Amino acid sequence: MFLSRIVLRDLDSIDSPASMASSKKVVTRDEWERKLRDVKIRKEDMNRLVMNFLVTEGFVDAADKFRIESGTQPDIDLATITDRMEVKRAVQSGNVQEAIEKINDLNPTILDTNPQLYFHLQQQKLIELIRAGKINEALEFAQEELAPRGEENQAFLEEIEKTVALLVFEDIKNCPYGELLDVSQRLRTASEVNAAILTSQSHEKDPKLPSLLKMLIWTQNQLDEKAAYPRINNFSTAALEDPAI
Amino acid sequence: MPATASGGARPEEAASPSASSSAAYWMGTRPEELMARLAAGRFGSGGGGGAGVGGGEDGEYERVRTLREIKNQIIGNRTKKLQYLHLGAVPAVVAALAEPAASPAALVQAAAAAGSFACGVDDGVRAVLAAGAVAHLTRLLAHPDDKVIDASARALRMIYQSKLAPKFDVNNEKNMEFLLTLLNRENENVTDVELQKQALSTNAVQKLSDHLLANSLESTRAVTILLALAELCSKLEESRSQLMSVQASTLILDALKHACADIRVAACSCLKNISRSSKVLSAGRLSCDTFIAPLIQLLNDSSTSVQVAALGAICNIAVNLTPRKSILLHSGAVSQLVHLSKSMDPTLRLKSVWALRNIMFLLNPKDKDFILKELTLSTLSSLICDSEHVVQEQTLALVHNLVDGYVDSVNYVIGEDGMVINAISRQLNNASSPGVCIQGMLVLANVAAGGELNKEAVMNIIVPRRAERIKPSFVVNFLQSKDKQLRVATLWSILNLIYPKCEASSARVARLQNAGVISQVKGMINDPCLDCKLRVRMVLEHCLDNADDGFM
Repeated sequence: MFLSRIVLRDLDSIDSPASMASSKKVVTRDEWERKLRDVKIRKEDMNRLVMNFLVTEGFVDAADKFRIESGTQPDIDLATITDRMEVKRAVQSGNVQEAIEKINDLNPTILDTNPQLYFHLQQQKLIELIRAGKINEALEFAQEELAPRGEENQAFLEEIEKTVALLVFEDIKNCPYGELLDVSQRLRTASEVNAAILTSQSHEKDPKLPSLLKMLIWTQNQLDEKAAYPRINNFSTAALEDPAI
Repeated sequence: MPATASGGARPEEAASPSASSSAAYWMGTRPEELMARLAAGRFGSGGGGGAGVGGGEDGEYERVRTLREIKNQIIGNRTKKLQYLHLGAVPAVVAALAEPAASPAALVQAAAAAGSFACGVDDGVRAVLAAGAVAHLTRLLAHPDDKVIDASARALRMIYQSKLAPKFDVNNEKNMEFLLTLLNRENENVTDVELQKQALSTNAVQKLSDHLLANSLESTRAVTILLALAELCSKLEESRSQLMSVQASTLILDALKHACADIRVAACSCLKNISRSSKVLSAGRLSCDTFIAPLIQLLNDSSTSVQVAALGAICNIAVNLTPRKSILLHSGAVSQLVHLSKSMDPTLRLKSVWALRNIMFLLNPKDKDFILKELTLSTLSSLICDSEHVVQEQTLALVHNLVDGYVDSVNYVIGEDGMVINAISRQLNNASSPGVCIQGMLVLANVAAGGELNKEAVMNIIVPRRAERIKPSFVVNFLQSKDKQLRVATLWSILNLIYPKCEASSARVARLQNAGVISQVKGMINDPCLDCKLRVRMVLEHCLDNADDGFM
């Protein structure tokens, strides 16, 4: 076969772990830190990353304060963030109807084109009624509003059943689907709302910071094949961990 | 008037918000009541109406509130839309749009409601059209209040998205003028109304490109027009042929080299959508030579969005050039694509691998070798283990296309100490995404269709010889998958391992038996998927065939 004559470019062949260890270049902590110091990063770039994060996640006050203290301009109008944040806040405080009305004022097409989001908001409404102990209203609401959602779209049936099941239990906090009453459920819905609004404003719904971290992971993976070097394994501390030899 | 006599808590007065919203819902805002209030508001000035729903400011305020309430009830809610439709809400809402003295607030709510009725409900669209909403909304696009313009544009967009909507006749000169003025507006919602491909009559492409030709690419509308053309070509065959006229082609060619990145991106989108038509490409109207070179140049563009757009166009061209792909191969495309496959940007990696996959499809062996030489096995292995599962999937599809119909290519997969097959094995063992597993099994199935060496190589992946009996073969899990494609691909690999009958095949049957694979297959005799059922039967037949001494 001609295959044996094919010349592989670039990298040494990486066959087994044993050969990997012996052919990998080793970089000590000192060398690494020296190289890091040589790389120039601009303060403005870092500021813009922080601003982008604050704005996308909707931390208006922090964004405004940061704008004043650092002079960095936000990449979208802070006023549009305020609207979005009001909606998010309404969901987080359990005022779902208020949130729905605000979204519809902001952009009436969002809920019409996001059936899943609409369903989750109505589900949250039911959860809040149950939480407040308004069992009769909850039952009527489930019948008038949630049941039709299930008819319109079978995929929602399972969630509806779980939520309605809450009505059966005496001690709702500790029943099988009790986690629906958790604050985390509100936060999840709020986050879904936030993303939908951002998307409708043609703004990227994800901040840049996670993409940078993804690139870091990619780079380290690529480098792992060729060298042993101080790695960052914990992203929250970004601590350099000495190379294992 | 029942509306004003409604008792119960009003939203503003109640204690807690959630309590009030539900109380208000049950007591003062049932559809019939709202319809009545709306009707009362129309006839205003105290005539026959109850207190509080008179004319003047109060009346207008009430009307706005009612319209808003109706709007909030119907948005997202198909059931409510139908309910209101039967109550005759649409004519009432559209009448609010037609009202000459209507306040901007009322117009905004009415427009939103009209748009919502037309969203996702055929009867709603019909009702909205019958009530003459389109004419009113179009007129309102020129309203002094920005919010009204926005609301009307959004509503029109909704309406035009339905296939029931009428076509906007481009032949009418006045309409054409209007269209162009709309394209000129800064307001995104407004320009988007033109991008509704169903809204335009069939020779819109002609007219739009004529206009572009007349006014050169320098106009600010050029990007929008190009995007509109791209959108029109995305589904309509006729538009694609129109865009490939000599003049239009020259236009696009110029656009590819334009200084403005957005124009380059838009031109690439046009080409991407045009190349969806094999007819256009094979009819030679898209003279590939002219477009391919500039597209490949754009792979090196300074703007990532241009690179991504160019990749999209090349992907589609590659599909439709089969089998005449020599143009692409000798144009330097492959080395550019390989270079981009090593990019830090996951989107660039994904699309370049996708393009290579498409080029690889049904290619002749010599050309396949050429590509592999550029790509190298180690790059291929890294891509199989890429951090993004979509990249992994495309790479495996690339390998699938490689081995398909090219028996010797299997040496790429198992050669160099099995670099590639080991990478595949890693992914299959790591509970990767279903798409990755399906492509991986398809590759293994193809490899197993070869000679003894191949079968043994695949066998060692599926049932490793090492004493790792603790973990069951991933194949058993795949056979239990809800995804029928995965089950079928897995069954094919098993089938190819035990056919044709020979001593080695019998030995493999025994190994599969010991690993619990055959009993899993036996349990699938009544698989709901016909394809699976057939393969199951074939596997079991061959097992019997191979069983000399009653292994089973």
